[in-house]
Amino acid sequence: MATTTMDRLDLSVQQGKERSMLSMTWRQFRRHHMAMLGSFVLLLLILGSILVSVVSPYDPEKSSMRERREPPSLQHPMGTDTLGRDMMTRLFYGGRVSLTIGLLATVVGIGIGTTIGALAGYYGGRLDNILMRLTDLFISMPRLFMLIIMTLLLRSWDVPPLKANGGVGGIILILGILSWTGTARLVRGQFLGLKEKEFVEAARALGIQNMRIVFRHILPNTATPIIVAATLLVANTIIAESGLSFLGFGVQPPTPTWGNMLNAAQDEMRKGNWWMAFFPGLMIFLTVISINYIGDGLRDALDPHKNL
Amino acid sequence: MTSYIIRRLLQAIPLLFLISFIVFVLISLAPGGPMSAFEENPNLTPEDLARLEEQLGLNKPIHERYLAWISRILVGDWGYSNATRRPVLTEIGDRLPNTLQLMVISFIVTILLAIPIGIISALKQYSVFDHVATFLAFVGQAVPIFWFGLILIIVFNVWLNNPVSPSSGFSWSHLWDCGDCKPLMPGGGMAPYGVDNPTLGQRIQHLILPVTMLALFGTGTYTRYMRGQMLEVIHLDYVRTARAKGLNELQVILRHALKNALTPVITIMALQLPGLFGGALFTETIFSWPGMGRLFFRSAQRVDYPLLMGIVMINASLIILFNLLADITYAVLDPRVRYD
Repeated sequence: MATTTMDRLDLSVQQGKERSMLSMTWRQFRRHHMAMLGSFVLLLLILGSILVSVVSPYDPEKSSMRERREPPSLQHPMGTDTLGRDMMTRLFYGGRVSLTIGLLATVVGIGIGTTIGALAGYYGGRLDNILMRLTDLFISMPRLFMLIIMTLLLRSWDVPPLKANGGVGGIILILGILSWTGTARLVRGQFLGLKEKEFVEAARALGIQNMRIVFRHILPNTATPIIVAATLLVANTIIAESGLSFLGFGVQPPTPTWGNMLNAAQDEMRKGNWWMAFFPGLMIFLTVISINYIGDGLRDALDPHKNL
Repeated sequence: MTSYIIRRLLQAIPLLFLISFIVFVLISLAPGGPMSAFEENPNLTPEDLARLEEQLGLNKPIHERYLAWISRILVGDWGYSNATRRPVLTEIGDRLPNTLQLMVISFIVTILLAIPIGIISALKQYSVFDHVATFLAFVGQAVPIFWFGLILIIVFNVWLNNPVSPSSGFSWSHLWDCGDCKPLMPGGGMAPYGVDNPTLGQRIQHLILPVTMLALFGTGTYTRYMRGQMLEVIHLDYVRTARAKGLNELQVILRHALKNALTPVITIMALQLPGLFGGALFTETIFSWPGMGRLFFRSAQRVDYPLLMGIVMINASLIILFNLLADITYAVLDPRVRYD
């Protein structure tokens, strides 16, 4: 009974605070011009990726032998590729894939990292020791090399959801598994400080279960740094995915991603067909710099010392 | 201090064993291993295959295979590459110096760019220089380095020419318009095609683009980090004291502020140095640079276990070593840090 009263109290305080927090954050965020510009560019890219199937007259995977390797023109604003497919159409379809991978892999990474960090920080002692050694282990592994080795392993697994669409699911899983260490350390640090606070002691005194304290009482208080870390992680995973696909170990064609389009452009650009390499990279660059600026803006806006 | 170093070294050893075990298991599970070549051979019966498997020791449980492998590693027998049949250590030994050459030069360029720019940015906070530098650092952090490499090739190898033409001599207009000129920069390799003993000039020419590409990797990050650290110390009391003592500005900056701001920057750099191997993987692939990254890339394509294992082990050891070095430099540079 005591639990429910406490939780309701806790919840109402949180909601009241969150509403004003949100508007305060937004007010701060709006002042960061580059973050606003970044949000705008990212929104355009997302809208383009969603609407491309409605707006574009071209099929992303159907080749057209008469229109191969055409430089940018009015019909094909970003040119055509070696199979005569419209680059711009493929880039926005690629955006769907690349953005989805970035987002979902981050969800996986943040999920694992938060859980491990929270458990280690809250329980301390031996569990903390074990989990932190595990984190050290993952940090000591050469990331790009491990990513490539894991994609090799993935080829032998016959799990359809991981293999569909050129292996998008598998890539999400691999990227997530290899990108949680930063979050785990961050969350653990937060928990170490917060678990000594009075409100946690109060919750414990009321007999609330540990798991509930971890996830309902402490975790919401660590949301700010996690949000910023997650934002930057999306940018990182997008770069990692495109790097893997660029090397030919990521998402397999014909499913377009910005990375594997760059891979296909490698030989072409030595012949001077610059647009095939220029535009996919530009998309990655615009996405990543936008997200980084948004992360920067969020960090400033969510900084409690700045809001007052 | 010595006991701290010894303790950390002892901690590093089980870590290396664990990593080697994980990588061993992952690679053993991957398809295209040593048996796949035999499996495709129609002349071999299933009995032959089973016998081969036994001969190669592949039918044993994974932990036994790992123990056999690791005990050979420990005595320096790293096995033979499945693709070239040459010893793994020879293959790696041939490439490691090339990669180190590329990495060390890029790293020096990065430091020479990032530290001065970061310092000036901090000293002239909110000036035009600071805004431009901060913006460029953001751009540098967001540019995918493999794309940057491709752009470098398009501009300096495909579009721009060497302004000296064999037929009509030097003219600036030859840069973009010339019939018989060579490219301004070589597009790959360590030396001109077919040249075994390149001159120093040729070597440097072949280094310029790959080094530029790899140097982008950390410059943005370190510039921002240097700026942040400098800003943090510049308002501290001891810097004001130094000024009050009547020291000139240069001495205040270099001897008092910079010395303290540099410590965490050096730590971060040492920590991220092995990450350059990842960057080198792209640089070497794009510029056909015969180093470890390209070797790993090709071994991964052929699923050449012994080589893959060897490269990952060397990399993991370097990461652990540099982690340790970072901690030690930090302890040496910052007397407040004491590990007992």
